[in-house]
Amino acid sequence: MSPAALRDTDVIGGVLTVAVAAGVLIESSGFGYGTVLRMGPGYFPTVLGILLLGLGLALTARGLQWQSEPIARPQLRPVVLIAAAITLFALTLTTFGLAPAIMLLVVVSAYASPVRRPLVIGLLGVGLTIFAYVVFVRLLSLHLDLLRW
Amino acid sequence: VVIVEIIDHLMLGWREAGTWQNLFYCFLGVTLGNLLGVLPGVGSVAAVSILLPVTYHVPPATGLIMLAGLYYGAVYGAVTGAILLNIPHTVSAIECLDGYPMARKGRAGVALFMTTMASLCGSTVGIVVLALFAPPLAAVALTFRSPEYFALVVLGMTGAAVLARGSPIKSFVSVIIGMLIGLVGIDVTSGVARFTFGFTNLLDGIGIGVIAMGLFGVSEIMINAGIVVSPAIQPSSISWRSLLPTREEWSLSWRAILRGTGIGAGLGLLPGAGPVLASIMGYAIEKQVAREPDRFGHGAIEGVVAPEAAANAACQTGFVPTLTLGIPADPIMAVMLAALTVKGISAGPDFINTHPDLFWGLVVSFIIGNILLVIWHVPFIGLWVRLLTIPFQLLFPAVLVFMCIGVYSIQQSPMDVLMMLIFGGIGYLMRLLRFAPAPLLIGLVLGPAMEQHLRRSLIVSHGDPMIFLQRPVSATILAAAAAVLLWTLYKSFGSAPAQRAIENGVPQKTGQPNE
Repeated sequence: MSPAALRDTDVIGGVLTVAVAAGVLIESSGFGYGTVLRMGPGYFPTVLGILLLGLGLALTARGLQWQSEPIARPQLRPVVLIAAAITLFALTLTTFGLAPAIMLLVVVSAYASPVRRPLVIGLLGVGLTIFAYVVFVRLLSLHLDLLRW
Repeated sequence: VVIVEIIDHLMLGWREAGTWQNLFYCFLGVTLGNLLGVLPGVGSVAAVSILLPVTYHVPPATGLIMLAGLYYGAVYGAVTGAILLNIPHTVSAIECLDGYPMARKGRAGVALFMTTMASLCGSTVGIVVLALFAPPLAAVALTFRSPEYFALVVLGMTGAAVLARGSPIKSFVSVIIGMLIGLVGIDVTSGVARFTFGFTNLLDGIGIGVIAMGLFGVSEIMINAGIVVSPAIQPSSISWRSLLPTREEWSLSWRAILRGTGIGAGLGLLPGAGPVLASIMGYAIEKQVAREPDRFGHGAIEGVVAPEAAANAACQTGFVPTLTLGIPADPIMAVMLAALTVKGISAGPDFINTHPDLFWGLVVSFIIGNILLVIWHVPFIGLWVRLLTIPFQLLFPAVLVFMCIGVYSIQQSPMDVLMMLIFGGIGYLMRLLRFAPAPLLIGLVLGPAMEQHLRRSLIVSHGDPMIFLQRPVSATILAAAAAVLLWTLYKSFGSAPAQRAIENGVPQKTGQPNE
């Protein structure tokens, strides 16, 4: 297999599809297939899994035969920073309150952009915290503390 | 007699849509939709999902009016960014091809004004088609039983896969993965927990809002956050006078607008088509019928107005299959169906009969919403143009804040926020690998329906799968699905370069047409 095939979007997508299909088929084998007359909980997912397997194999074969286009280089910096920002938000929201969660989310995610001005980002965080507090906590009465320790 | 009946219905609708609360939410919906449509980096699917939690706090009609307003408001707004900044929003990507060159020639005002007129024309015809076609279609659909519904779901799924942008095989993979995600949770018939992997919070399934915001919102931001978008327009350049088209521009436009409207209104009726496909078809047909096709890509006004009219018409007529058959025309409709289901209302042939106030209220709210949008876009266009000068690096953290709090507020669960992130990662991977995420959302809604109707049909027929071919209506619908599938196969083998051109239909950053 040529290295170009390994970077082809069809080949990677096809192999991943086959892997998902295999997972689905293994997982649904434990549900009970039932009969055609009385479909068990495993019947329908198994049918979908088989279809998915076929599509994945077709996609892989197509990619190996006629290369479509190579996968673009993922931009690691924005992806990692945005993932980290959302995770921090989820972890801090109920334990430390709305203000620290939003500040962390805004500051960490803002550094994903190539344009970074600390003062502007800080002000944006404060502004969004006030706005979110007024709209979600006051107006929509969502049960969240602004700050908690 | 028919006219009296229609006036009766509209009066009923006005009583529902004309309340202060509903007028306010209609205004809120179209304005926010327009705002999120104008601003880069937030797709309309994400926009609708952000506002989804609000619908839990208001009556069903109010929620539906607001979400629908967001939907067509975003279509109106998206074209502004396409013309002025060459931002390819999913729904208005094709307008970049000629809209941006027009702006560079100093005709941005005309392009903005004429697209508003095109939107108005498309929407008006779309609303008329909706009001005329939905009730009779629902009456026909009342005779449908499980085999017919199964066939319809198959057709909707096929349509979603082949009509989406990109490779049909990949779109089928998206649909099926969506269906499988729809099965996560406890199976209502057997009580078995499926695909929960021991997580108790998955027992109720995964909410469509969480999935939509992750797939469309988070992944979009992950892609765009690292890019510097420098707004290079002067808000003052869009003056009142600059909106007026010349006689030549006008005479070129009105036919294009009518053609686009017709194409969009027709395509919108098909399950799975939606405004994106309508705008692409609208553009393709204008290029076909034009006397000088070479003008396209260099600022041909027909190439801007026809897709816009088509997208708006499809937006409105898309409510026909969504509300009367329960088959969503596009991912946003899927989110709206889910919002109705939460309220205990199921869209389908009974919908218009059991909730006439809701249906006609929605129709009347469309009329009000479109008038509001024209007001926003003609006298207040300068406001939206100024909004485009907000730098993206300030915008996306704000959008993230709203998405995170919005997702959290649905069930007060921080786990849902992490789940949204997971779907954001999946969406990012799908984009890298060129899988369209839209069919996934349609599969999500159709999957459980498909299983249920398959199961019921097979119980009725004592396990004989021939039931689907013995009943004339279901056989016809399945034949249509097969025809669509065969046509796609034929097309993909017939002309590979043309297919690739459609697949890569998103204009490049430079605004050069790639055909």
